[in-house]
Amino acid sequence: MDHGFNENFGLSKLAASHARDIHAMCTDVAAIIFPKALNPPTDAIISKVSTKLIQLVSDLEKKLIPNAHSRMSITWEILASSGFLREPDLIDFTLARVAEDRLESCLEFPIATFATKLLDNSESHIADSAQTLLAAESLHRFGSGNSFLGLPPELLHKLCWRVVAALEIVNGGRNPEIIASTKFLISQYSEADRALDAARKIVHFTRGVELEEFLHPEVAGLRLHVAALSAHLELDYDHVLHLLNAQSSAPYALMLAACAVDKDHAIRNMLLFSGNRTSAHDFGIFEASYAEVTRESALEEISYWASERSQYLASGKTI
Amino acid sequence: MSGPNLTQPISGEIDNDGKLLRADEAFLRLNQRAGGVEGGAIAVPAIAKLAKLSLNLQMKLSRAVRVADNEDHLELWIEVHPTLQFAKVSILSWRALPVLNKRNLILTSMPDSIENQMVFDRHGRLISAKGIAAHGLVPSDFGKNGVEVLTNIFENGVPLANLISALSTGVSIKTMQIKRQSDGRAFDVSGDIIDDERQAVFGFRLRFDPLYEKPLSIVEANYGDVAGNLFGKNLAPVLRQPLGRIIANAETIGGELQGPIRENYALYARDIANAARHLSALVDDLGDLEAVERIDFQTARDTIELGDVARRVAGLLALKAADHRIKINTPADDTNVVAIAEFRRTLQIMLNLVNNAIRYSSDGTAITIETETADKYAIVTVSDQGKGIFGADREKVFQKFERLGRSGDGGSGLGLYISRRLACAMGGDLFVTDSEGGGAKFVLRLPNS
Repeated sequence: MDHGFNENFGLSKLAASHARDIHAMCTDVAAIIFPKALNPPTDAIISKVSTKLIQLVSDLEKKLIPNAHSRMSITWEILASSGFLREPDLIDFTLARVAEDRLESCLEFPIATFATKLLDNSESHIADSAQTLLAAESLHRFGSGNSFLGLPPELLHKLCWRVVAALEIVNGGRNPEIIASTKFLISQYSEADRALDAARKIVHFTRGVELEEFLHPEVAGLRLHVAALSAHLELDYDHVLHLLNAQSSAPYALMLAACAVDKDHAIRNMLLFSGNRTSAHDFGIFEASYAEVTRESALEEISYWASERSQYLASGKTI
Repeated sequence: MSGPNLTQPISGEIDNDGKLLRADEAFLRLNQRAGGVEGGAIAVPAIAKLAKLSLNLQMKLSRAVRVADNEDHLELWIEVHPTLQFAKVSILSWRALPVLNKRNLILTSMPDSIENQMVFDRHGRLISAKGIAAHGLVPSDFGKNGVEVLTNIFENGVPLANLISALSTGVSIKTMQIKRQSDGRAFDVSGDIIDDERQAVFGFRLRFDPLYEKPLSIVEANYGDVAGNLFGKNLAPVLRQPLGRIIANAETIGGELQGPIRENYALYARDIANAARHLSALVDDLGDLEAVERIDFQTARDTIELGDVARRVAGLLALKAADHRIKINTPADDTNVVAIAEFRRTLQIMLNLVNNAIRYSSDGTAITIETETADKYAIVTVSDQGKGIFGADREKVFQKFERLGRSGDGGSGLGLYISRRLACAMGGDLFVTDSEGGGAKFVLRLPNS
């Protein structure tokens, strides 16, 4: 009969872990009562982020473990308790994907029709990237088991080896087959195959910021629109997604002002993504102030956002 | 410079120590411009970093990187393929980026926290003006000699002479009073030099503090400033946060995003969201209330066209009106009824009036906004086809928290009170009368000179 007692998990260890839990409890309660965000996450967002994280880990496990049968992740608990899954860069990536889903749902034609046109472009880099974009969008939207393909290389590398480490703990030893399949997965990965990198490449090769279409998300599609803003404002792609998805459309308005977008165009874009989330009161402020914002002052303000973000994300870097 | 999409990539190989093992000629030139030497380490930081990352991860990377020297800012598209010994770097294209004039950027933005100011470059030319300091300036004034601009704006006398002298010699001046020619308004003005982090002089800045004037201030009453900005600056943000959360979560439940729930529960959730929205609007109103009741509350004197304001309001509330099949008639595009009032505050009043008209009108009716000039006033009216407001109630509606017995419609009883005080603060008035169609007609009068 197992009474939960063995050499490795005695009363002392049990008592110590529960004693330490008091501090963790305090931190968790404080975070719930006194959230730092102006617009704290809703239960829906928390649920979506959790689901995407579980999916990531689970998809990766299936790729790394030969002949995997389990539908459930076997490393989730270890990774979660180790603290890795709460690192800023991974949460930021996952939240950006949640934002991407919501923003895409605002578009009537989420698949970029403009990208389809670019397939016939005489410049091979543009045509190839348009194809990659369409392929990656399809994988993202319709594919299953490939959620990790959207990860940036640094994060995929980190997640892969941590999953491997967790598997070694679960299995009680190293499995050369898992190591080999991890190395194979990493060697086969190409950053250029990600949708957002393909979009960014198209923007680069088409001198994107000069193309009027990119500033119309309903024409260019979400990814090309975000990539163009990202290139023009020197913000990273996921940062732009977060800003577009913010509860207030003011950050988006400032980004559009920095791109010298006229007011009517700006308000159409804002309505597209924020719809009923913006009050008449806020629109009044936009209406009164937008014309006063100079391109230079908007760019300068936005440059501060970029530096704040890099400082925040640096706290999650281990490579 | 407009860079090419290269027909053949420019390539180079970089080892684990960052040494440039081999490179095409164009690659070598790029490296030399960055200070690198043949056979030495790669000197372009962005490329070195990317090569190192690729070698560390043993992953193929493909990114835009930005490089800059004194002459050009370039964006390169780079692909990096790692081997165990070196990273093969291919530059597929480059394009020149517009270079921002950072000096101007600093000059125009550095004193951002100051509301009312003029900024001049080191040659004394006007390059930026904010707040009431921008009043009366026209586009051609910018870039013009500051002495000329100041002479055109302010009354002659010792203060102007001192101001011009300070600007010309680049010497700071302490606060002194000066009057504007156009409206006789008085300001406390002070000036100081703007320099950068290297202590190099960039220009000169004049700060203007408007002196309190009776005609523009609101009626002095028993409204002290005891609590300062207690609500607007301190409490409102604290209240908005939990309210935002209530709205978001109630919408999540009401929208059944996490799966179906009983119909009446979904309706309760929507009620919660609506109630929280009402509270959120009340927080906005209380913030405004605190502002307009301050003794030193003042508004800007912009030159605005009331027909333009009316059309903007109609545009902003078009969706809401359409929900109730209400038509908003606006003045024709060629109207020109000019008022001297703060644009944002006028817009706020008009939004409130039209919002109320939508709220209290029957579906399928019309709201008409008209403008006209009468003597020294510019007038804008908002008429609806609702039940109208009778006799004694016409003054009561402008009282604080007065709802005329209504409840549950999302109003706070503060909107009209705030609107009238804003109108008075701008030298105008707001009152209600009968509309020809039988509804209410709100009349906003603003000075036109």
